[in-house]
Amino acid sequence: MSARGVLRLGGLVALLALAACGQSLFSYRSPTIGDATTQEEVNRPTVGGIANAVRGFFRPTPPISRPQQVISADVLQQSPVPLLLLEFEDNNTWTLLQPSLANGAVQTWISDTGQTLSFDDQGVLQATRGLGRDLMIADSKELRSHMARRAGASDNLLRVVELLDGENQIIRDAFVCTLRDVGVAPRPLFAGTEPLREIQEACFGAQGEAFTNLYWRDPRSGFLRGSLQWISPEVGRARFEVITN
Amino acid sequence: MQVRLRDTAKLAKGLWAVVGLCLVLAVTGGQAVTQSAPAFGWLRGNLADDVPARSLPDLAGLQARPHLSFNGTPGLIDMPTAHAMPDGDIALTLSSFGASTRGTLAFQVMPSVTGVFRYARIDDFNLGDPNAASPDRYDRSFDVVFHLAKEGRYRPAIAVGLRDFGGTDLFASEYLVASKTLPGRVTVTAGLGWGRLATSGAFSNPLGVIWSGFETRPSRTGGLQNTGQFDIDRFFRGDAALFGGVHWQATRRLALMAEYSSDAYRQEENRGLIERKSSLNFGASYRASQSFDLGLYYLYGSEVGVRLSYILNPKVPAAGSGIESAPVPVAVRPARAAAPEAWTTNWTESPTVGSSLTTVAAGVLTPEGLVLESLDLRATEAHVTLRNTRFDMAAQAVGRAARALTLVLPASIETFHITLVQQGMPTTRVSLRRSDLEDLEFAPDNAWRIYGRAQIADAGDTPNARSSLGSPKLTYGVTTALTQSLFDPEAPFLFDVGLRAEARYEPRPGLIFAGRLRQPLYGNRDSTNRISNSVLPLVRSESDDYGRGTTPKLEELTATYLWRPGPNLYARATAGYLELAFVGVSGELLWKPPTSRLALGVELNAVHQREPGDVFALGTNQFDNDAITGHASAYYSFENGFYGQLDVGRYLAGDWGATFTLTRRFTNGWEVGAFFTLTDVSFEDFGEGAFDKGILLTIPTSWGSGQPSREARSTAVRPVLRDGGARVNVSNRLYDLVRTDGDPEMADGWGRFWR
Repeated sequence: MSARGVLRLGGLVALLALAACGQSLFSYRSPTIGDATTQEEVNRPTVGGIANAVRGFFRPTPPISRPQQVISADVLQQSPVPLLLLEFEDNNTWTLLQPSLANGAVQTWISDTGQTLSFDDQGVLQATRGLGRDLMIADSKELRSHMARRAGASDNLLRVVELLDGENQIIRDAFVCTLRDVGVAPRPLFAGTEPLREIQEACFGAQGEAFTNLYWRDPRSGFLRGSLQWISPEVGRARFEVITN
Repeated sequence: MQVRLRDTAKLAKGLWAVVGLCLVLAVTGGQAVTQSAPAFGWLRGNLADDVPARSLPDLAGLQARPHLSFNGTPGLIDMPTAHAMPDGDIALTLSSFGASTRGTLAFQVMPSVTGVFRYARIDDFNLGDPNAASPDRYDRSFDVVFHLAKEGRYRPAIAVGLRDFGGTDLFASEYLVASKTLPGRVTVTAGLGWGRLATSGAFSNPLGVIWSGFETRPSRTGGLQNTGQFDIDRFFRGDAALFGGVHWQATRRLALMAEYSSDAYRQEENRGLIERKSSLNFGASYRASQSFDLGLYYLYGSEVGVRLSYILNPKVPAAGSGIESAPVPVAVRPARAAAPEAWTTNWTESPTVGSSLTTVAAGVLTPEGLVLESLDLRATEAHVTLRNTRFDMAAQAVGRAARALTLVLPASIETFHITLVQQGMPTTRVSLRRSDLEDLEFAPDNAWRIYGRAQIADAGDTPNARSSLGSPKLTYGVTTALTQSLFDPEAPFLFDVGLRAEARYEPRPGLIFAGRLRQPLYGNRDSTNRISNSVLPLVRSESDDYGRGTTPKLEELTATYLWRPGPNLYARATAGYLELAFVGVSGELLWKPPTSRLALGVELNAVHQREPGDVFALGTNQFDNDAITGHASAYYSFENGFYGQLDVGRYLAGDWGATFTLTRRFTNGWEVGAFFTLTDVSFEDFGEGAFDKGILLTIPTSWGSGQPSREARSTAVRPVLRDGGARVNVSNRLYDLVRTDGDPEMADGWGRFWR
């Protein structure tokens, strides 16, 4: 059995042991004011559910469908709101987000499973919530003002990233970033390839850590069409594209 | 090579240890669990088994985990090395060779101190001993290792260790060891051992040049009854011997090692349990992942041994900073100049607005696991009291409540006074300005800036609410139940599984009637039959009697009232069936300002022991024990994450004394600690173990699941449970109930305010 298999088996044993104790069989609570607005989540174990969970541990993860295979033109046309396509670079998993609230220049988008990502008006990622290792806040105002001017190459832009460590402490990492205009070339978007200008933001941290973000702009209007941005060491980078307008 | 083939019954018996390790995994939630089962499909795989270069686990130093020995501590095969584990590491090791099986928990208490608890079994060690409860020897022991020097460019790492100090003498030994890493991923180790580590190749103690008394090791007097005392007069005395070896990290995962052992295994050899033909041991180890490590060894020219280690670090939760869904964003009010009508305070004059706002406030708070206790709205201020049923970090509960309130409260309300409530009793009030929430949501350093602007105060001036808006008065239910008890000399793992019925009725906030009844269905609790030899009232040493059989067990049936008698004061009164073994009344008063590291408390109990095997009956015969017990307690959270507690008072057997507790408290809720109690009961009257002591382990559920939870699994592991230094167990002891809502714990968790 592979190391991963051992891990999974260990996890399965642990899960079964956990399931054996403290599993609620039935419960009652007297009605209160909060009940009107929320539905009690009923999560009772069934034989089929447990069997599925057990099978799931040993079944290889099925290949992930591409968003183009799943999101039809109808879906896009019928959506009353713009949709943000998010694809993780590491494993090609993806999801769609829709606009939530805005605070000044920062727009928050929310997925149907309750994760949020927030971007400033230049499309620079500001914060994530619910991704496992979240970007708590990114201080990228130098980049933002630079992008707002549609300026090209630049050196020594400061970017400060705040993450939450395993002991709930905020850790701040400072990066020095260099902007480079790679020029216009055909770039793959959701709907097909388009000629777009690529701006690269290469960032280096004090402890030798590094990442590069990519921003694809419409060569005429300068409008941001897509980007590939770093979130955190564990989550890596993700592609972002608003696929409806 | 001769491999001892044990009969199948022995092998089956050996399964207890595997079951034990699985249970530990279950208790810890197992990092493996969430790594292989993230909550939703599109996140699957984001939290990989192999950590990417330069990530937070790297920062915790986990890439430099030292090799663990047969004893579950950093070492070669059977001999120790000098390197320390990364700070906070907890290593669970199961090893077996020949007749010996050892289960070890090693904890890197701080960078320079390692603490170890070991449970060993040696098959047939007690054969021929008429007093022994079992032919096999079960032995519990503690080690401590001090890392005197870290490895430098030329200087080796140096450590001094005390093995099995104050135990049964089976492993008692001391050592001084140095290890140095050389080019080519080779580590060499040389050490000097005393006690058991000087039973082979021994020579006269070099410390004899300082004082001739070092040359002889005083022998132990008495048998098992005299165990548990610290053997300071024996440390580093008697003959000494050299040991050492080489460790070669052949590849990233594979390591090879050879050692020269100074342990003669004399007691085992005398009993024919091992044939020690050589002092040389050889081994290979394979690191399957960051957490799992396996070893295969050829020992003493005659035995094959295996080792399995599971290593975790409380600083590195399974799912990073958590996979719970996002908070609602701050709803920003329109500028007053642009929309003056939105800022009007006319709503205060409407008789119906208050109740409809209460309903919508409950509507946004309830999905966050925040139960609205009361809501009082003024033109520019909102007083909100909440029961936090979900978040282990109070700051996260406050942050989520504040953001949810921005969605529903009129724009004119600028200040939110959020009061946290525990069991109906207000604890701490956090006052926030709504414009700060709007300004700082996406501002750099927003966690500490909002902390600086928040006002955190005691809520002692607030009485319990007359009735709770959102908390149900009555709850009841049935769950499955697993209970276990470890280290019984006749059956080291006792358990039963069954059903537990629970009910809770809270007619007014703070007044709680609670009951728990457990019905065992299957178990092995009857497989021990030992009779306590204690000369004290049998308040704890016959505790196995309370688990026996399949009669229903009334675990609790109490009436409790919790209230705030004044600023910084908390009070509790409890009466009824407090726990399985005692019925009575209990009262407690605690002083804990929300910004203080110090808390003081007093508790007084009058109890009578219960009759085992009966639901309601009072104890008769040897269980006919009354006790007035009480303690004065001081609690202190040190700046470095350690927490100390001192309880002075009277214990259940009528003995007077004090309990000392020292715990390392990780700011994510993990706690690893140790305690001991000294009372006026003499070591001889106490019996085996000499005095009450043990280790404490608390593992927050959120650490393994990545989802916030106020649940945690707490265990006190005692090598032996005797009658001296015993305290009654009462639900809702005040300090643990309220401490998370005040500093330093609220401030330590403030990084989660915006999470």
